[in-house]
Parts: sequence; structure tokens; C-alpha cells
Amino acid sequence: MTEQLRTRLRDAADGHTSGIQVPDLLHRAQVSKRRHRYAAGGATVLAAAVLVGGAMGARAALPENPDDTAPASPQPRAEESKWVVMDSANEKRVNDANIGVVRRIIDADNQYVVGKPSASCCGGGSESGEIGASLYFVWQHPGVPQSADPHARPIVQVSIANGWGGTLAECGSKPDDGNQCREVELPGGVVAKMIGTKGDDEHASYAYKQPDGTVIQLSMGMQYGGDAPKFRPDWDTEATYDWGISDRQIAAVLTAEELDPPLKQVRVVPGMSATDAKRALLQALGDDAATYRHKSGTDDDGTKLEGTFAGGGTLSVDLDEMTADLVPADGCQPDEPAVCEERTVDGQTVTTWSVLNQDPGNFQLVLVEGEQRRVYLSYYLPAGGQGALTLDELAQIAADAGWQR
Amino acid sequence: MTRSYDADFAAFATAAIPGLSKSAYLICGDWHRAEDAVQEALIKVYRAWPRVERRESLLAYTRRATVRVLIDGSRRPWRRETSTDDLPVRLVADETGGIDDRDEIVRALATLTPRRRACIVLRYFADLSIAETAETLRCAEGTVKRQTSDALRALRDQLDIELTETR
Repeated sequence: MTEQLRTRLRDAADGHTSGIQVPDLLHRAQVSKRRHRYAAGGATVLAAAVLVGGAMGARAALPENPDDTAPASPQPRAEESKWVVMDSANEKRVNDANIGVVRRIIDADNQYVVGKPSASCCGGGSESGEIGASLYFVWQHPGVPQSADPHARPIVQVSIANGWGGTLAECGSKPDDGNQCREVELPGGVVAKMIGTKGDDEHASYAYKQPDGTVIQLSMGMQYGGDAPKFRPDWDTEATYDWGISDRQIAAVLTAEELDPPLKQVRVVPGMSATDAKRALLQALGDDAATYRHKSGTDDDGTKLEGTFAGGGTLSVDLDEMTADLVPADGCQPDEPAVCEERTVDGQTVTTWSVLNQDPGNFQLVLVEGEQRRVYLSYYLPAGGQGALTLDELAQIAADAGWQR
Repeated sequence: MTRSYDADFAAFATAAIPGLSKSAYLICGDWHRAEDAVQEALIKVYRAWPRVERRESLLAYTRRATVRVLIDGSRRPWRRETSTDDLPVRLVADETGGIDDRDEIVRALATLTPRRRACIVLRYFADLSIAETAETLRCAEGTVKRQTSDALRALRDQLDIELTETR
């Protein structure tokens, strides 16, 4: 009977006296009301302060007195930007190019690679916005009989990601419990992360972060399917682990600047509207996006889309199937680590938060309570990095009427 | 905002705070966060006071704002919530079992997602109907039924009480 549940809920909530003081609350409400007026009128000034003065470091603050602010300038139209979709055709082209680069380095004489290399996309730690693709080379060791089971053959895997989160767990994607790699120095002064020892383990893996943030990981000995049989003990040990890949070749793969993360990227190029940007985002994200859900488990009904930008940052779009007649915005609470403002874009109230100095990086949140849908953007930036999108562009995307159809 | 509005708001807030705070506590499991949410919701109500008064029940509006603050707050990256067995404040066991019971029910609620938790609290603590709960959570009645059913099933597994969904 649910009556027992009612009783226990009542019991659990009893015995506490609220500490809310109504006079204090009224004062806060009055201050909030004044700030709200200020935020709506002075949004442009504040946005400029956030983007220029406070960018990625300083924490700006809302003025206490709206009379102290400079007059608001007219709301500028967001500068047009052009987005290029990394669609499946482009993805294949980049994958093929990457495979060619790696193959020329590790098997120029076609001694080891069996069959046609393959590629997959996109694994890794999407929670941190870092996703990676992998290239697979089925490997034939000299002197070792080839297994009849294609899933039991050794492979060389090269992962290309836009951050450590997109790499294999051992060297970065699970820093709490998976970062077991040690540093090794390879020819040319290349200091890489490494796990396993070539020659005494079935698994050796090297990872390296290039200056532009691309992380390359080269692993040897992994087998298709993950649960494939391990190397047969009757194989000749020395021959089995003679991969034929020298440390110099490993360093060359890790530092190859031609390797690009061939992900579902959306690239920002001058000249395209916010509407096209939204289309590009949806197109780039494809069918996978429609089924993506919050990993935090806090929203059972929302749909989440996510895209990673070559210019920096990861944009997530959450759509809730809710009509909205609540007052917009969660309010700008002084104890929150965010600079908050409201603006009007194409007749819609857009609330933005700029959150700085967070771990792992900075992020900006944009909310529109539309008539049909609630649009909530989360734009994560790499720590200390500049994003590809400005706050104006984010506001334009969130306010796009297309989300409400 | 006139002085009359302020007085009306203060009177409304005084009456609404105890019940809203309890509901909020059961949803989030933390009195401090619950009261923060209630205050944040009431501040929103103050800002929208004229509009709200004309439109619907003030209490329903404020309850919806409170729940929204709690659920939205759990989605903010700097305050992301995950279901957990550990509550922010651990209560000390007593010999009568009363505190243990209170701890147990709140601990069990904490294992649910915020929306499911809200369904349980709104339906069985605030005594809202399915339609009112759906209105509060801004979702379909079918969603409330499904989430309530799922939540009851989860609670049944954890609590030593018999639970069946009532309409």
C-alpha cells in the first residue's frame, strides 16, 4: 500500500525548521529584479566584457547598481560563420589518408599488413568531449603461422583523437583508474606515454600528444573483438613479438602531423548563417545523435546532440520536449561560478552563463525556453583554449526558430 | 514592484516555504540545497509576480519552479548529480529506529533519477494527481505513470513495504 510510503515520506521531511528568512528573501528578490532589468538592457556590454576582458581567466561580476553601467549599445547581429560538415564521405577520405600515412611509416615494404586496413569512429570519452577514431592493421609476424580465425590475429591499432579522452583507457581516457602508462623517450627526443614492454607482453601501447592537441596512440598486439584468444603459447616467442616496428618508426607515427582526427567534426568557416550551422550540426551528428542520452541519468526525456569543433571545443545541444511558460533563466546567483546574462535574439529570450576556471576546462551554457522546445547548449572549451564559437554565435544557434519546429 | 506587491509576496512566501522546502528536500536529499532551490524559485516568482497571479495558482507555479530548479541544477556541469547511496548528511542511528527509517527512505530516494524522485514526492508527499504532477514536471501523463511505476518498483526492492501504484 502506498499509504506506508506516504507516512514514511512525511516522517522523513518532518522535524526540520526552515532557515529561510522571508525579509532576507524579499531583499534578494528585489535585488534580483533590478539585476534582471540590467541584464536584459546591458547584455551587449556585459557580453563584450566577458568575451574580451574576462575571456578564459578573470571572473567578471554583475554591477550592483544598474545606474553605474554604460548605456547599452544596439544588439549586433552575430558575425556570420560558415560551417563545413565532416560527413561520411569526408570521414572516409580522411581515414584513407591517415591509413596511408601510417602504412608508409610502419610497413613501407608491405611485409606485415594483411588485407585492407580498416577504421572505426568514434570511441573515447565523450563526457569530456574528446572522441577518437582508430585505424586497424592486421599484422603478420615473420615466422608465425597465421591463425585461421580472422578475429584472433594480432593487429596494430593507431588511434587519433583530439585529446587524451579519446585514447585507449591505459593512457588517458580514464585518468582516475586507467592511466597506467609511464614515460619513455623515443628517438628524436619524443617523450611518449607507454604501457607494456615490446617483447615480453602481448600488448605494447605508446601515446603522444602533438603540439596542436591531437593525441596519437599506437598499440601492438590487440586483437579484434577484445575477447579473442590470446597468442598461442607454442608460437616462437621471439618471433611472435618481433613486430618489425622500430622505435624510430613508432616515434614517426606519433609525431606525424599529417594525421587528422577524422571525426564527426563541424568546422567553422566564415560566411554561413546560424541556421545553416544548426543544419550542419544535425547533419554531422547524424542518426546517432537522435538516440544519445544524458549519461548522468538526470533527464529521461531529453535528447542530446553533440559535436566537436576543429577550432576547439565541444558543443552539446539538449532538447527537452517541454513547453515553457516559466520565467526564463535560473537566475544569476552570486555564489555560482558563472557570469550570467540575458539577451533577446530574434524575439526569443536567451540566457547565457559563462563558467570559467573549471576543471577540465571552461564552458558556456545557453538556454532558450521556446514555445515548443527547450534548447540548452553546453559549449566546452579545452582548458586554457579559445573556442571556435563566440557567445553571440551560441545565442544565435539557441534562438534559431528551426529548433522549435 | 509596489509595497503592496512586496507584502503580498512576503505573505505568500511565509505560507509556502515549509511545504515547498520539505518537498524539495525529499527530491534532493539535502536541506541546504532544498532551501536554496525554494528561494531561487520564489525569487523567480517575485520577478514574474503580476504575470503569475493572473495565470494560475501561485503555489503550483512556485512548486513547478522549485522542481525545475532542482532538476536543472542537477544538470549543470558544475553541480552534476549522480545517483548515489551516500547522502550528503549521514544521520545517526537511534534505538527507536525512527531516524533509521527516515534515513532509509531518503537514501532509497537518492538512488532514483531526479525525475523519478520528483514523481514519487509530488504524487505521494505533495498529494498531486497524475495530471498535476505532469503539469508540474512539464511532461505527459503517461510519462508520469511510467516513471512513477519504475520508481515504485525500485523502491519496493529497497524498502520493506508493499507498494502498488494508485490512480
